[in-house]
Amino acid sequence: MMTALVLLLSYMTVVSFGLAKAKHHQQVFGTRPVIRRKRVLTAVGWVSLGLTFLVGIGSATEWLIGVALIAACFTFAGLLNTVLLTYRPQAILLLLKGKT
Amino acid sequence: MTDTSSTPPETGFKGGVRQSMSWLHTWVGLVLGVVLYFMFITGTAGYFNAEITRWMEGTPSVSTATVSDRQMIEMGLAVLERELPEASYWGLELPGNARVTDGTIRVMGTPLDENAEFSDLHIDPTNGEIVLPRDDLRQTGGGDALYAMHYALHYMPEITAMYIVGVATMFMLVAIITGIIVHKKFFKDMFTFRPGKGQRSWLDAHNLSSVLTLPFILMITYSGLILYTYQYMPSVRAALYGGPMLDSTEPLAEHDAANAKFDQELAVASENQQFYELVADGKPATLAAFGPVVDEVEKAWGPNQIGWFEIMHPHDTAGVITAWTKASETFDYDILYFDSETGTQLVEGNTVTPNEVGDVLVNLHYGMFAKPLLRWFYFLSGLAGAAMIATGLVLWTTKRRQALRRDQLPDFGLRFIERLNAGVIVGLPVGVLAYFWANRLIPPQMEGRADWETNALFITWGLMLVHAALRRADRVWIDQLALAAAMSALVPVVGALTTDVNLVQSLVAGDWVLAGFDLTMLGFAVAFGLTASKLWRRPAVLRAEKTASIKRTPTMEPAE
Repeated sequence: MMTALVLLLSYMTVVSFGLAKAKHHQQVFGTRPVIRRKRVLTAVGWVSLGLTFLVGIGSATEWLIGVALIAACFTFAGLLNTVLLTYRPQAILLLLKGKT
Repeated sequence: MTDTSSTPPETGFKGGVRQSMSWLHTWVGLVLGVVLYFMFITGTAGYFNAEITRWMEGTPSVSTATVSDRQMIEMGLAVLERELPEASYWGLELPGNARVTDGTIRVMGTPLDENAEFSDLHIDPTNGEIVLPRDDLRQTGGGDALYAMHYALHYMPEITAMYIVGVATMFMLVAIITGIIVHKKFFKDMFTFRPGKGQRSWLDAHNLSSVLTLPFILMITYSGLILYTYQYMPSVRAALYGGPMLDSTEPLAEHDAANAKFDQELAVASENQQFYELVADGKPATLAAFGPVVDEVEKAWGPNQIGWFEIMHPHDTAGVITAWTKASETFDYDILYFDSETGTQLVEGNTVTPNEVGDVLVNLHYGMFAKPLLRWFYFLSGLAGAAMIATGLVLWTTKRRQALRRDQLPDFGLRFIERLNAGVIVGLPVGVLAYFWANRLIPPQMEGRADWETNALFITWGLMLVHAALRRADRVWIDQLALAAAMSALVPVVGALTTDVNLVQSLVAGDWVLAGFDLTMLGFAVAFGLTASKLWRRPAVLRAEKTASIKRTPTMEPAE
């Protein structure tokens, strides 16, 4: 359960930092991000990054296991994000809407 | 920057830092790519070595009954006392520990004669009877033989293999560091993949597989080097702690003695020196009752937490009883020691920081602590590492082929690497599949069948290399991928025809180790099949792509 949350948080981190980049923003929204949105996305990215570590390490029996899990989650969140950006950029939009 | 489509950048250590790094990255990768790819494929399989062994033995799960640690230790010790009373070492592995996947208690003993084989028995925890080895059991190298190739290669002395592996690992680290410098642009557009664009797509795939798994790849490479520190630099240990220089002809005991002395110096202020004296006193002693020992263990960890229970020199005054927590429960095992004669707890000295750092790295490398999900992540990261090497190798050839002028024919080097790539990247997995097939097809009673499983792997791989060398160039990849798809799809079928277990039965019984193996094979079949059919449909497009790439203006970035 907590592992699912870590996966979700790491995915949120990856999406936020990714969308803050002009090129990826364009892939999903069709436009370059305005400065304000860029800042918001970056901020969300940092917050969820922090939360990923907090939950990941907090929920693990030992902190090193937490770190290993977090590294793995980021790897596969990144992979998922790449696949979606390449083949189904709209799906990311749907995921974002689903979350809010 | 430079016009890479007409002048290859690898002209030696010229130009800026990035150019020379690019040269180093390219050639180190090309020369050691094959060894590293082999290490990644076999090592990745090693994350499921116990599961693979279980499948290869082809036995159904014995029991899912819950029996207490105490009862299981009693059963195990009774069997050892009866079957191997003379052993200098007794070990009991309880069900649920990382390596036992069939519900049995695994017991083993080393006879006093060092050259004799390790005896390995499995006990049914519901009645205390020996269930393995059975007469009809398949002798198999299992997942362990596959995993051993990861660091000991095959058909050569272990020392030789260790140095080859060491050199490859060292240069892997070089390739990673230079790769980060060469490909640093990637970090700007983290998640970019541009499919169907030839060289550009391969570059993206190479970048993605390495950057996304960078934490894993850095960790696995560096810790792989750390694992063999004293073997790679034996004179340091030999000068300070005695013992032999690295030489496989020296008896193991002398290495042990030097290691023990070394460990003793690294541990601070131990109350008992007993841990480090691996040699028996030669004075007979009665083994303490295990009951009070288990009481002590349960007081420290709670009930049923024991993974390993072992006794060094069970009937000697120098004996030590050791209890380990289950491998999958903690990052580093918790261990308790007891005097084998009196049953009193022995207190271990604290270890020093460098030793602890080393332990952390080694534990991360083995990933014994990883529960199923994390273990799968390890496995997939390993595959991604193999993909990084494979895409790098393909990139080398794609780049050179696209740089050719219309009237230019590829030189021998390019054609050689193109064919070698196919025979390695797909040929090796076909060899591994042949290893599984051989396990099912070689008659169960045949002498030396375990060796022939391994021979089947290398013979098949050799055939794939020959095939890659002789077959029409545009068909090599398709043939081998199709073969790999067919072989992996049929693994569950061959298994069902030759053993008492099959996929349907494992699924119904909820035996996820056996079912998981078959399902993974089906997953690989789909992956190989899709890749094969994608290539099959490509030839017409290929020509257009090639023309387009020739017309294209020089690329804006160094491609490697």
